[in-house]
Amino acid sequence: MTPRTWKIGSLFLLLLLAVLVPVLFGIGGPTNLLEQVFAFALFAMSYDLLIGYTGVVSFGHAVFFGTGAYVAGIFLVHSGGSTAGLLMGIVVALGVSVLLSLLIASISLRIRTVYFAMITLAVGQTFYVLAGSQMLQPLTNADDGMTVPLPVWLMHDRTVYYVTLLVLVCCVWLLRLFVRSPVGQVLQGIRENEGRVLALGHSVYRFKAVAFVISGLMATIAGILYVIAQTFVSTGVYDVSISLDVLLMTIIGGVGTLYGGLLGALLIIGAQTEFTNLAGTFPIFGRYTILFGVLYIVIVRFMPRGIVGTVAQALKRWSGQEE
Amino acid sequence: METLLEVTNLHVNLAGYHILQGVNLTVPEHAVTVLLGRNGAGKTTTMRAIMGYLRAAAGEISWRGQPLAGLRPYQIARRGIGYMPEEGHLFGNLTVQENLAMVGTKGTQHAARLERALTLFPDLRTAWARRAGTLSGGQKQMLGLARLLVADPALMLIDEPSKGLSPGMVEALAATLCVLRETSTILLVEQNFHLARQVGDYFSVIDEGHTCLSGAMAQLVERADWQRQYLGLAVTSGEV
Amino acid sequence: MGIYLTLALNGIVNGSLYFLMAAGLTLIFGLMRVVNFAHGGLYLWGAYLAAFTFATTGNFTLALAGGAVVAIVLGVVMERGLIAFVYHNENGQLLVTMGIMLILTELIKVPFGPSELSANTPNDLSNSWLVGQVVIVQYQLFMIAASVIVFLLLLWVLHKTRLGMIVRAGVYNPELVEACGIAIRRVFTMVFAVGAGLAGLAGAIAGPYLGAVTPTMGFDMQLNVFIIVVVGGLGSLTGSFVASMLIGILTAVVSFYFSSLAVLVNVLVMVVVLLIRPQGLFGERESPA
Repeated sequence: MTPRTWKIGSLFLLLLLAVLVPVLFGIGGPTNLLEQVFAFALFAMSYDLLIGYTGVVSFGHAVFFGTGAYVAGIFLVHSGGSTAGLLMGIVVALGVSVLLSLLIASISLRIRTVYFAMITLAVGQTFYVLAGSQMLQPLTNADDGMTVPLPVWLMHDRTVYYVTLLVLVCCVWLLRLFVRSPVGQVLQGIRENEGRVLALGHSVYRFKAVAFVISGLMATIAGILYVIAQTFVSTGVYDVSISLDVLLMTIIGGVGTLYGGLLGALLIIGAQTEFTNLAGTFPIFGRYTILFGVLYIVIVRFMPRGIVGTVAQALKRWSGQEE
Repeated sequence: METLLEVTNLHVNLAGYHILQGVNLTVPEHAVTVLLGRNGAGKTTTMRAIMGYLRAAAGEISWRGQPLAGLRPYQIARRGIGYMPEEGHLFGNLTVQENLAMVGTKGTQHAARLERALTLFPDLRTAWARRAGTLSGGQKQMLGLARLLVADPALMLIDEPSKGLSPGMVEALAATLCVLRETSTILLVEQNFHLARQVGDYFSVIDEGHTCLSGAMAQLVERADWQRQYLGLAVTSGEV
Repeated sequence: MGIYLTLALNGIVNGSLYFLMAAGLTLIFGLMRVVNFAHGGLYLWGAYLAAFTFATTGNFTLALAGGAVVAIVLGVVMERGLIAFVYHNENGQLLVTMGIMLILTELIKVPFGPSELSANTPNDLSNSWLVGQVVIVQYQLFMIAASVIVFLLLLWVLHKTRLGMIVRAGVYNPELVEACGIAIRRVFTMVFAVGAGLAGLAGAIAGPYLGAVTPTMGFDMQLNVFIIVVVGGLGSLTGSFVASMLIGILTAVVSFYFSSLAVLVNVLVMVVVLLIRPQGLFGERESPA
């Protein structure tokens, strides 16, 4: 079997499994967890578009995720959970996301990657503080967060599950299209060798900006999925720790592999849930972030391609030898 | 004459490429050995391997009969090998004075060596407090050579000092190298054959990563066919 | 009038604390170009250890020393063990040091818990005076003095000693420093240790000023200090000092009027400075060797 058939086969199997979960395990615990995984998987993949395809690290990608969650949440709350409110929320969230990413890109993508990391971190912090500020209390309910009402047709857990799954699958397909498009090819060229792409006459900045905007849009959609799945939104969605968790999901799965984020989200959210449960009996497990910190180091040091990248490489070598 | 440095069957891999595949080199004391060869033949790589910046995949580099393998560059420098790289041979953010102080300011001989360097390169005296990065191309070469003079190593590795200099400055450089030759042992990388034949006692040609010819410079000067074959020079020797 | 003077004084005190922290980052990030996103973790550990030491022994000098020493030890372990393999790999540094930051921030909660630990001001430094309409706190004067001393001391070492010369040379051209017979890796580790120690000292001094130390103080501080180092110009101590005061005063003023915008204002300052002078206020244009 070629790596390609492996990839398609495993993705298909995963999809089948995901479709069958509510049938096999019922709804409630497992589907709630998976809805979160789907939202974060999309979030992580959007991040991979940035770090894996343009080589810039952001410490504030939660800005988009949080904005998606908040804007959708605000519109749902203030429309009393109507479908029109949800649609308006989605449209406005995507619009805000594009403006925000263009603004951040225009000030920070031209400079060193370190500065980009700093600026994204700072913008994320600002949104975190703003969302919790008393000034915006009428809109965001400040530190207390908002419980978000959903349209009637989205009330059922099973519907929410399949809607998030469907959106994830569609977005994965779109991301795949983008990565394989001529623009996506140039982006991979940028990652490999910025100088050469420059010599070919491409404006590196523009391509990076396009990737950043699309990445931001996908993260915004992830935030909207998250608020639909959780029916609650609070300043936590803007927290640095969210950006850092997602960064970890991306690098564990494999930077530049696109699909790595799926695996990374499953692993990290699964681990978080498991550790939080364990912490009930053994408080030390509440400090699982230590382990996440160690993972950061271990992956950069020993597994820079992440799990998916490493496996893909091994398969390639293996099938290469077979021939 | 004692052999200072002996390189035997040196192999070096760089970024997955087998750059050096059998370099042999003998550097006798009190003489100038010139390393010749085309661009990309492996001359600079050989020097960097001698200095310990690059690890040898195979072969041996021995200094006064002792192997240098496993030593860090600063340890090799302390054994008495000075190095002037082709690029980045000075600290542009430091003053001329500080550049010269980098190799140490202690020792009884220091003042005398500094005096000698400044007599040889009077320009540096006037530029004493200037930042090295603001010097002219020729002055930068002088500063690089002056640092070697002040350090006074048993062996000087000098990588293509003539690069980027005007013909007039190359003549001045040749004169300088001839002065250095009186007191020092030098291993010189040089593509400018006209300069090489003026200062060199011995030569060694590297091509595609291995040594293909070595001997006395006088022999090479005689043999136009060798020059054509190994250096790609025109029929009349000396013209570059 | 009194309010402006108070804000200015608060700003200078903020700036002093920023500079104590920024000085170390100027060495590590500004000069050595190691993107140390764990710098706030060193500050955090220095703060906790000092608060704990002072609470148990009552000796403030010992507390300061303890804060600096723990950060030096952590810094050397970090540099030797983890950062050494990501030199010349900026994204690697970002990820590895952020990993270390997570570990340090989380690990401190194991002995001290996730909530705050109060940090007391020593009696010798707890006087205050009312001058006109402005309250002058003795501990704040101590902070200003400490930052000025650190500034002058570092300036002297960097520009008037042989060690400083080697550090400057090593930043410019590390290979050539080795060719001069100097073990540059050892020098770099030492510079990293000094930078880490300064972060620990800053944390130790910050504790009594803030009244309490919390696990999030490292993160909060770190971002501002990175901004300061960039605004001042990478590698310029004077730039860091000026930028510290600038950002300190701005933070004091902005938080007085709109507290939630303080971080954003700092970022805006950084963006504006980078647009007008990409090399920072006192930085030099990067030129090839």
